[in-house]
Amino acid sequence: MSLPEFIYETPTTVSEVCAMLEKYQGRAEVIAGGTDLLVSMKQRVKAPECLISLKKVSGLRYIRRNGEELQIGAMTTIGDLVRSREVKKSYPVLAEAARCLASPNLRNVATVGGNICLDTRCLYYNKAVPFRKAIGACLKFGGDVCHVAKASKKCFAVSQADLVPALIALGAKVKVNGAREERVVPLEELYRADGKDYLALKRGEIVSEVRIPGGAPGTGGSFQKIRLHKSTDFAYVSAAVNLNIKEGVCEDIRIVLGSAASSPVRLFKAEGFLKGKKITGDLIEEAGAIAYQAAKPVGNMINAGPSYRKEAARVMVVQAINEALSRFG
Amino acid sequence: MQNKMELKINGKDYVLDVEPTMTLLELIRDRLGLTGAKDACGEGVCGACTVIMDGKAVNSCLVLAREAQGSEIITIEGLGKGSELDPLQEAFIQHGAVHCGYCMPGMILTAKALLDENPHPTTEQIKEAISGNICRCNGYVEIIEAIQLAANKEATE
Repeated sequence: MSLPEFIYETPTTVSEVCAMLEKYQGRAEVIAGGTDLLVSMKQRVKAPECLISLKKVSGLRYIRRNGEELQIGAMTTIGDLVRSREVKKSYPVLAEAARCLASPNLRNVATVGGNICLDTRCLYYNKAVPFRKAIGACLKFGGDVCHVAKASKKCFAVSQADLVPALIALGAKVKVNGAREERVVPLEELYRADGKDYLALKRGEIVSEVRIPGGAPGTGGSFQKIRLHKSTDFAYVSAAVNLNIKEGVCEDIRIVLGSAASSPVRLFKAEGFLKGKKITGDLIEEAGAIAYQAAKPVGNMINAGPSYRKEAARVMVVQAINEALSRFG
Repeated sequence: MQNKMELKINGKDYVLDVEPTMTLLELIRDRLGLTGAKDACGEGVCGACTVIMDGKAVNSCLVLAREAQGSEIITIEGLGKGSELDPLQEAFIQHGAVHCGYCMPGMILTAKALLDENPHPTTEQIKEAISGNICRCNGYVEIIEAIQLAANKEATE
């Protein structure tokens, strides 16, 4: 498969990157690992006029402690995360999410920043030209119909980046650099519940760093992903849990569903249900039932219909809580 | 040269004029005639295009050639010395892991990268390492055993 023509820029600083993004006025995209972008370009789902390479921008690939906080540069590969003893020891939910992402060889190239900004996905979107020409442009392509939900005015493309639910469960923040300023925001504020307009980044902005708060003692976490094969595939649905147990009682818990909607879904109701209690098997089942009610997937995945994915959400949440409990120390 | 790039492939330095749209896979196959790596799925799910880039196994169909500026690449043609095969290649052949052979360059390079990083992998670690390399022929058992044999042989030498 060939790539469409593009101008290739190789900046060496973040300011240069932001300036170039502004200069090209939406006609340029950054390329980090390229493992998702290049597939989209081969399918002609995307054909940016210019690719701005982040490869030679210095100082974006690191995993380091700054006080209590763990800081991860946006060009850190998923493979770097998997190989990090610090991440495995301190943030098992993130280590587990990284380890089930794509495949080992793709993980050596794919990046943290790329996964955080991953394009949303849909059965009718991630297809080559013949298929999309046959069905006509959908909402995500600027057309006026959603092929999943014909009456919908909103795009249902799914947020499927594996690191995102894990990072939100950890209370992560991201540093966003723009041409004139930088800002640090909680990661969940980066996402909109809209498959087309899914990322709250202004033109010229890039994600440069992820910051994870230090873990309190007695914290455990787990990421559970269900898919057809044991490797490579995106999730039908996933669940990230991070919890803290003090004197037998759940002091804090975050539960986040991934691949269930156009943005990651935090299950506040299930969290509130478990917080402050001693977690028993019955309570976990109840939390699973709350997850089942909260999950509202649509029919835009091959092999997995909405009712299957709702049930899978329940099972993933139950498994994630159980696994997280077995890990706290 | 406006599109000049430099990289090392199988220990040899290259200075080339490469247009931005060329992938690393196209560079090694079409430009340099190193046809061990295969263009099968073209979208990073089959692993037949695997090469080792700066010590890590990667799917070359999804790496822009220009992104390999300054990198060291090892293709299957770079394993072994002349007629002397790499222990992994020997093990794959002796153990009957090679059937049609199509997945083998990618599979062996993934195994090579694994053993370079982890000389004593468990069966689970081998399975995980090759989980991005699809084989249609042999059901993976001979492949996993061949990798284990090569690792054991290295250990006893």
